[in-house]
Amino acid sequence: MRLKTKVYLFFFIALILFGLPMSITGYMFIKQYTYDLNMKLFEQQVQHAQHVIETHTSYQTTSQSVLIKKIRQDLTLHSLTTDGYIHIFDQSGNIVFSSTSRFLQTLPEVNLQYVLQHKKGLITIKNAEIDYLGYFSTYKPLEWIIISGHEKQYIFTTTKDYLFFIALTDMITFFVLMLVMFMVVNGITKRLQHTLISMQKIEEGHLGIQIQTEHKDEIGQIAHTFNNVSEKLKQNFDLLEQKVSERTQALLETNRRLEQKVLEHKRIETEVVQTNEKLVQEVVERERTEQALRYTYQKLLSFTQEIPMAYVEWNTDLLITSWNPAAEQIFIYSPQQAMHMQVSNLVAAKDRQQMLDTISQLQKNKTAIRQTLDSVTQDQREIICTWYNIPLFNEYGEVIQWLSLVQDVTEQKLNEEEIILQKEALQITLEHLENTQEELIQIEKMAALGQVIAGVAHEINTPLGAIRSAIGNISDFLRHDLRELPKFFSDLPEDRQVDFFLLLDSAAQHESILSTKEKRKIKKHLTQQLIEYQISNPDPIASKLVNIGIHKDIIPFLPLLHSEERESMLKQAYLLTSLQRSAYAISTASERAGRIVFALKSYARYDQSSEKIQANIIDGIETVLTLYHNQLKQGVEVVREYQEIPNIWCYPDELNQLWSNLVHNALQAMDYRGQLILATGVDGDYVYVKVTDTGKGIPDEIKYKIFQPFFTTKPAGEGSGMGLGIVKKIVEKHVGNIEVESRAGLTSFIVNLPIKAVEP
Amino acid sequence: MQNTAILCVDDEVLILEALETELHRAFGDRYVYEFAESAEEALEIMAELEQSATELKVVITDWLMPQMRGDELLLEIQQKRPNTVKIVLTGQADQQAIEKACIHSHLDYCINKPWDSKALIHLLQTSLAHYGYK
Repeated sequence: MRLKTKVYLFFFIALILFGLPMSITGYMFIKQYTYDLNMKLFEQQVQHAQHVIETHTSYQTTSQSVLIKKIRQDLTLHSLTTDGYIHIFDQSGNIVFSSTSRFLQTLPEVNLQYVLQHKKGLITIKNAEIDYLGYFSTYKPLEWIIISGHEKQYIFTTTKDYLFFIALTDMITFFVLMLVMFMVVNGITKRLQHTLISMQKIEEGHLGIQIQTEHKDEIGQIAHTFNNVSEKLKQNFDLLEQKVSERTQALLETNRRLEQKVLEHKRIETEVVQTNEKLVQEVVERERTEQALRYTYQKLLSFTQEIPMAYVEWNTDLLITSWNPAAEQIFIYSPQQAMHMQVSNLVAAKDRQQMLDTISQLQKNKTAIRQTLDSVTQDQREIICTWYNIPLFNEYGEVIQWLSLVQDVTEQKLNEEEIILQKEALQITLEHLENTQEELIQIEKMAALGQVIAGVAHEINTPLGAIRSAIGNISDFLRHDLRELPKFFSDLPEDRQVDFFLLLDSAAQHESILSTKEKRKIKKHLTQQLIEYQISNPDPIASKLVNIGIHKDIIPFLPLLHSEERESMLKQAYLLTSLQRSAYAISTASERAGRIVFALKSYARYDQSSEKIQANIIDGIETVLTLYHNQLKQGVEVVREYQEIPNIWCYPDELNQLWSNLVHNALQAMDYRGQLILATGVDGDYVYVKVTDTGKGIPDEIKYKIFQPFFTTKPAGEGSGMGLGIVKKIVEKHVGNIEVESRAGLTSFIVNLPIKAVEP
Repeated sequence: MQNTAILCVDDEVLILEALETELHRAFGDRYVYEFAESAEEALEIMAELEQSATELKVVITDWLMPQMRGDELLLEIQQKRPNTVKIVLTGQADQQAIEKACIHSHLDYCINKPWDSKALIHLLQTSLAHYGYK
């Protein structure tokens, strides 16, 4: 804490310690003074009241109420009510008179006791309502208690005003003193600081500095002393500096001579160190070379020992000089045995000359060579070995030693042969598999054909049945009914004959086959008419008329129907028209059969030459549709959206199989109910065929595998799963492609085939 | 008089025409002949016959028909009219399948297409003569 702050703090505390008790004492004094003054006033008022009462009672007034009235008048007139009030109570404490309404009606018990005991003096009345100070006296003749007083807060109002004045005076005094003190202290410290700064300057080296001062007080004296000291210091320092300068000069000279000597010494030292370093480097280099040599030797040694090939060294006399464990393993000879052998003994007699020839050639060409030779082991076993012979030369280019690496390849050779055999076997298997695949395709084709045939059999038997039945009818007629005809005509009256021919003529006009529903409708209509015209037995007659070909109006035939010969005439007409119907049936049925047979023929045609021919795609599709007619005719609506397409180079029989597979799939996909849409068109160099069905669609998760062979969604035994696989194969054979678009209710297979022949 | 009916079912009108000619020639007006192109139609006709109090005694039906097949139709008829004689007239080559169906569908006779008219008529005559005693 700085000196200045300490002084401030001291003054501040001193002022407070001195000023505060002074103020409190003053206040207390004023309070007491006010109190005494008031009490004296109250006492005078009581005496005055007593006097008034005495005056009135001396008039001998009998009535107390009159007395009180008088007293009230008097007291109100004379009392000093601004500085207090007068209250009169009787001896039991009840109020008799009061100069203010704001006062108690009865005197509290405590005060009453006190008043009756002490007769007169000071009183404090304090309860919940009021806090009252006053003077009392008892008036003996009437046993009254007279009280004069005021509420405490009014008594001390003046005192509070004084308090404010005291506080204000205190504050002003305090601030004035503080200001004076600040100025005095500040002056002193400023001068002290100035002295201090000058001392610090000397410390920093500014010698001889002087402090300017006019004061003669203690601080002035300090400054004066400081100035003297400063002057002396400066003189001493100058003397010292001169001496130091002289000494330094001498030292510098000595130093220069020493430095020269040191430099000489250093030069010699550097030369020694350099020579030394060179020597050390040479030693290190040599050690490193030795280590590398050792390392190389170890490598070579472990290499020759560990290598799984035989490592043999031999000299120019063919004598073996080194023999590794692998050599021992291959040739069985121990190192001791091998050391005395000629290397040529390791080679089979028949290959020995070949080896020697090679060696002499190597000597000239100075190269290494690899050759496979039949070799012999110690136990006279023949093995096949690969020899790598390497000559080592001296500086004149003469061979001094041979190195051989020998590998036993007997097993390897055998393995190679085995692999060749296996490869051949695989080739055969592959061919076999290819054949099997072909067979599978054929089987699938036959299966597809089988399905077709089952339908075709039904298809052909139907027209055949109709034909056979019709022919039966015709031959029956020729055999039996024809004979009756002349007799029938001769028996027939002439006008009936006209009717009869009219009937036959009407019948001839109808040459199409009616559906059963249409027939029943017509029959009902005719029966109704017959009933209207009251013709007996209407049902069988209507039935005959329908078959004869009378469909609408029976009015022209009414005479005939009413005649006696009705039955025989209808029978004959029916028989005659049945010939017509039979003939028509035969022609229709044979045409149908012919069409089916033709389709079958074009479907089953097998092109043995297996060369592409030019064919019309739409014809092929139509053939397939004919064969599938039986399966299409009721539930399936076939929509043809053909655009003209050129003939393409293809294998027509295979394409027929392709279309029938796609149609078959489509039918199965929509459970033989819905639309089968067939579209064709040209797209660049390709024609496309689009087969669309309105079936349930192919789920995305199986879409990618529908073309895989043997994939099927049908229960086991119902489909081979080859259908779409074969489709893909056929498409690939034509160098085309196939795409699938599928969503629920619309699945399309689109086959694109090149128009020009492209070789796969 | 005409209170006996013979019903022929085949999806080929040609066959129905042929059968009608044969039946007319053989039995004349003795029976009511009805013809249907599908099993559904056959069942409709059966209901009509029931209303007109005509007894259906013989049904001749094809085997391979779209939608409801012959054997299914026969099974239905068996449930409604067990006494009716049921004959299949088929172009189907697979005899085994038909024999199997004979047992399951209460089939009485089976005739292959193309059929012999006389044999068929004879079969009908005997069936009708012995109707109710099978």
